[in-house]
Amino acid sequence: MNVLGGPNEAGKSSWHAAIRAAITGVKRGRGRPSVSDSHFDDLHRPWNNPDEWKVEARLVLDDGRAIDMMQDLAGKVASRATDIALGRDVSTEIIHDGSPDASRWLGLDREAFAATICVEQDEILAIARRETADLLQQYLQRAAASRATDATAAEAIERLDEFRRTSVGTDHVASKGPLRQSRVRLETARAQLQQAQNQHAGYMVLMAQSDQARTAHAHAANQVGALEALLADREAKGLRARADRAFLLSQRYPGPPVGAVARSELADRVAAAVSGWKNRPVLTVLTGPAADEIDAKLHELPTHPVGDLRPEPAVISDHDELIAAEKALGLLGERPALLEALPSGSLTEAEVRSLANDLRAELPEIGENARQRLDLARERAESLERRRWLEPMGLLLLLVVAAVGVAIGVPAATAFALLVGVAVAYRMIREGHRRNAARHELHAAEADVEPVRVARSIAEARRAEALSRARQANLPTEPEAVTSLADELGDQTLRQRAAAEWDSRHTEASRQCVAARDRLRESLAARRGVVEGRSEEECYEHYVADCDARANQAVESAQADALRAALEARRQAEASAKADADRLTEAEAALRSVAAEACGESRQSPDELVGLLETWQRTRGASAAETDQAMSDWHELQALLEGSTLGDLQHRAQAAEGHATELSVGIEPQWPPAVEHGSAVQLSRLRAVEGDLLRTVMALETRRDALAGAMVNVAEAEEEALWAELELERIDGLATVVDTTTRLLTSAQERVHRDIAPVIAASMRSHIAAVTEGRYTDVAVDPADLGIGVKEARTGQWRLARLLSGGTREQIYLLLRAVMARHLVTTDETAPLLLDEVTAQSDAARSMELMRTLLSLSSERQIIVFTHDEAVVTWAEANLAPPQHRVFRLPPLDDRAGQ
Amino acid sequence: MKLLAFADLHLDVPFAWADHRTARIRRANLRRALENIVRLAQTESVDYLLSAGDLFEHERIGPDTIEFLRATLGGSGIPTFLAPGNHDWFGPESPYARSGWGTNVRIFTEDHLVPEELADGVTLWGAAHRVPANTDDFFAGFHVDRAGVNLALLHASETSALPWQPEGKRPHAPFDAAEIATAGVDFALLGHYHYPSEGNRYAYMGNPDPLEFGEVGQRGAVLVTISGSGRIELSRRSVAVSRVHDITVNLDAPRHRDEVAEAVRAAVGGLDGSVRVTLCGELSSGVELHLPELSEVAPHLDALVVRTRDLSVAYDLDALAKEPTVRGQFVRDANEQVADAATRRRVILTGLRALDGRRDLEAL
Repeated sequence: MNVLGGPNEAGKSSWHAAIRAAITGVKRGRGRPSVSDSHFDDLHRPWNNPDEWKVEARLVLDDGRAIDMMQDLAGKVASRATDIALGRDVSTEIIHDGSPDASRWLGLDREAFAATICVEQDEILAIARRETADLLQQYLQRAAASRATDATAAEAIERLDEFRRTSVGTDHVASKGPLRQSRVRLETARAQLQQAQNQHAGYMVLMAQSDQARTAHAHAANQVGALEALLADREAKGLRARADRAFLLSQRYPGPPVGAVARSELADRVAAAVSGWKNRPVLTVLTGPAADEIDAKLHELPTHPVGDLRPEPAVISDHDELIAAEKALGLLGERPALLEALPSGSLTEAEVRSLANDLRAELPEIGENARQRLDLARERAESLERRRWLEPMGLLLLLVVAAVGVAIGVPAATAFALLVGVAVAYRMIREGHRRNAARHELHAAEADVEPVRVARSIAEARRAEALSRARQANLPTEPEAVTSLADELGDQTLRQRAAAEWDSRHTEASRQCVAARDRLRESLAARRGVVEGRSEEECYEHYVADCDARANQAVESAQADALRAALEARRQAEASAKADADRLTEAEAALRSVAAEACGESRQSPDELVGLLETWQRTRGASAAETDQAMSDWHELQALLEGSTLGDLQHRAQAAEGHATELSVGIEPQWPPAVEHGSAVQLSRLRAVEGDLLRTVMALETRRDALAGAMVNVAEAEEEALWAELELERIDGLATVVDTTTRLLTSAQERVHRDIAPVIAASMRSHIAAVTEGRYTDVAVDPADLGIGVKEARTGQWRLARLLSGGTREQIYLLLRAVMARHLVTTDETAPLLLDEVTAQSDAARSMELMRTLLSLSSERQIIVFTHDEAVVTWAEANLAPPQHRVFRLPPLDDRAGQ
Repeated sequence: MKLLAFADLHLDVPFAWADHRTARIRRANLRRALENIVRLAQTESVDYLLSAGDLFEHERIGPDTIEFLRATLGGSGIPTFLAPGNHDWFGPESPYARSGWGTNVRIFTEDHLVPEELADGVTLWGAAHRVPANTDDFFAGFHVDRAGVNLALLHASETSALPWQPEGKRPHAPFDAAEIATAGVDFALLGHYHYPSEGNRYAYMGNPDPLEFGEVGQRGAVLVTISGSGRIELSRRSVAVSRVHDITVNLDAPRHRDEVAEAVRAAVGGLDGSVRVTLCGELSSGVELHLPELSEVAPHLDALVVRTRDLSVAYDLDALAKEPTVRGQFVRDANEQVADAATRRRVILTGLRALDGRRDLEAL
């Protein structure tokens, strides 16, 4: 044991830090140093020569090797470990994070070394405080967990549970956790993808249908145009023939034929009638709707609407966003309800659960066989004990008899008494052996049940202490009730957390809803779709319905042009038919009139009447024939001119030819055989077909364009589904990893605690009496939570170590440090203990107790103690004798500076 | 005679790795790449522009893209031949079957090779995929019926190159390179394989604008020059718009996440466009690595995707496994009980972090 004493500012802490740094060095790597390294640097780097910062120490290992450690703390590049005997650099044996770390010879690393080997002043202080008494147990748990001071295994498992709750959650329908939400997101994304694909497929079909309809309409329009051109050409050719004939006749007869005066007025009328009939028009039978019907239908058509024919994409997008925002809000469901205030006082869930566990602590029972064996052994031992005086008393009686025999001179009696005495003595010796055997058997039986008694005592102590705590906190004392309270507290915590998260999400979702609603109203207002007094959804539905109505109206109004063209054509056809009918009637009446006058016959058919009249003409003689021919030509000319001039007729023919030429532009030369013999009737029918096809095209294109405006981008929907799938995969994988980790960690904790508990108990047992000056004689460790129990010598009762006085806890803590140092070292080396000012907060008596504890521990390992306490140094000088122990007095730094 | 051939533009393809904004940028870049192709054709005064399939994705193409295609190709005035592939297969509902492509655009619609005479003595044979899968070998039983230079424009899979294609690539319209000569075809301009390659009688142009990270080879359009003697010469031209980089950052045990961020920042500093960074090497055990945060360290990029591969964490697992502690037992149990190496690594890291008192328990 080494004690280094000195006043404040003698550099004790620097020595402590220097020894530690010399043994373990500091991490060497690129980038910013860790917090603890920075702290070490700030405290101990020399101010006057910061680049010359080194520390050296000589270590002696258990295998006898002497090692010189040199740590280059400034440059971190020249650090080395040298075997003195061999003069060889052995740094490679212990390199850790770039620097030689001698704690590797212990199977530790510099972090574990700091947590296990070095004891700081504040650790002892914390252990001694009543309110932090549980630190003793936590230290043991942490050391058992990872040899460090970060977390116990239980805390790690709790952290994993918490992480799983927040980062994965459950997969219940009502769950709001990431797992469920990602599943919902994936389902939503897949549904949207399906919708997008359906829309896309529908669009492709509509596009094909509208394209085909457009092609069919173009075909029909071409047919209409071709027929119009054909009819116009036919009319133009007829007019040109009339004009040419009229021109020929007018050249021959510029005026009425000569001799016309002498000509028989009857013969003139006969010639005119016969010519008129032969040039009569051919009547056309009109089919399909009459002009009046078409006109009435035209008047019924609506005008072209004003406003959107299909919903504006921006409005649809804003509406979709509102739906999505409301859906997101709806997915939040009801706010998680909180429980009423729970009667837990200021205790946390963990504290209440710990209390329940302590109240529930099982009291181990002695087995029936062990108990029977103990009773039998005790009965036998007591029986033998009760009879132990019979033989000595008999022997004494025989000696008296023998003495009396000698005195009265009866040798036989004396001899008999001596013989009997020998027999009694032999029996006495044999009984003595039997009593010893019975006592050994009793001790063995008691030893068998002792651990159970100890465990029972510890459990009783835990239960009693827990009862006290429960009463102090006004809690029920039944374990089930306390467990139930802990469950409720846990539930309440989860509910509060869920409620807070719900509030946060609800606020954000509500804000998104309001924003989406505002955007929708703005976009609707821009399209004149806002109806005062109605909600945004109602306005949107109204707007969409209006768009549909306008689209239908547009389709209907688009029929007007086709109907007007049909009406005009029908009117022309009807006028032409009426004129032809009038001319036919007039020709027939004239024929019948002259036939009656010339031939006395008027009831035969017109063609028969013509035959009679031509016979009548032939009988009138050759002279009259010339006159008649002239008159006939003259009348033909008048019929061709129809009251107009030759110029007018030629102009009409020229105009008709121009119109026909105009209509023939773009018509295929051979087009179309079907209309070669077309008529106005056929034209009307074709126009109706073309109009129907145009309406079909417009309807399909309107639907197609509306769908195009509302379509979700398939690629983006696929991307969203893929992301959702990846996110779910990530969370599923995370759940697997966390669950496996928790299972393995729980199992490892149980196994290690089960293994380590008897080891710790056995190691501490050999020291406990010494370090507590006989107040406690035995140690037991609970495998469940590594709780330590000690047996009080005076009462034989077991006490929980964490409930003992601060001084005793300090002693037990130091004992634990030594035990754990031995347990956690994985090599054959023995770890020292470096203690800095561990008595700083103790009074004189407790300081001495601590030093006695350390002295006891120094029998198996080196103990280095730094202290400013003069009483401790004095004690050390009085009790520590060299060469096994050393005491050093450090002078103040000022004195050394003077030297 | 000069021809400009390209293939596998894949307009309206999804980019699964990207966010919406980046994916839209990349889809827009595909359009710009087609415009570059048309401009190149005009600059080079080519006689014909040829597409060997997968010009777009039938299942995804939107109305706007259809109009863009018809306007760009039809408006160019350059005589253009399109041979539909497995992604833009020809069917009754295909955009190819619609009108409005322009009189200069000719689409091969037959499921067998049909001729188009480009010039006296130069014939282009083309065919279409008419179904999205299971298209047979176009060269099977085929032979040209005329003399002169016979070219083919196809979307098909040369079977010997299949093993070098990315995993999952399917052999649509498979053929053997020797079939080209057997069919009497002098040279085939092909689509389907995105990796650009050439054989004696064929060339794959490759996708003109990057579609994936890690693409190599000179992809783009191929300028084909046919001399009067029938000699065919190829010249590859880049038309890509997107800049894509795939880099690896080897970490040398950074001790905190800012050092990781700095390493990523330094690696992508001189780059532009989209970058994928693969982190490997070793990470100090205390580093809290959050990949989404790292993706934001280079705002000058269109996109930064960060992933890890074989990234070890500086725990001495062998030493830990020897500890007589819960931690040691946990590492031993994990090594024994978790068979899958990747899962085992994640489990061990998660447990060690929990024991270190950390909150960042999601191990990458």
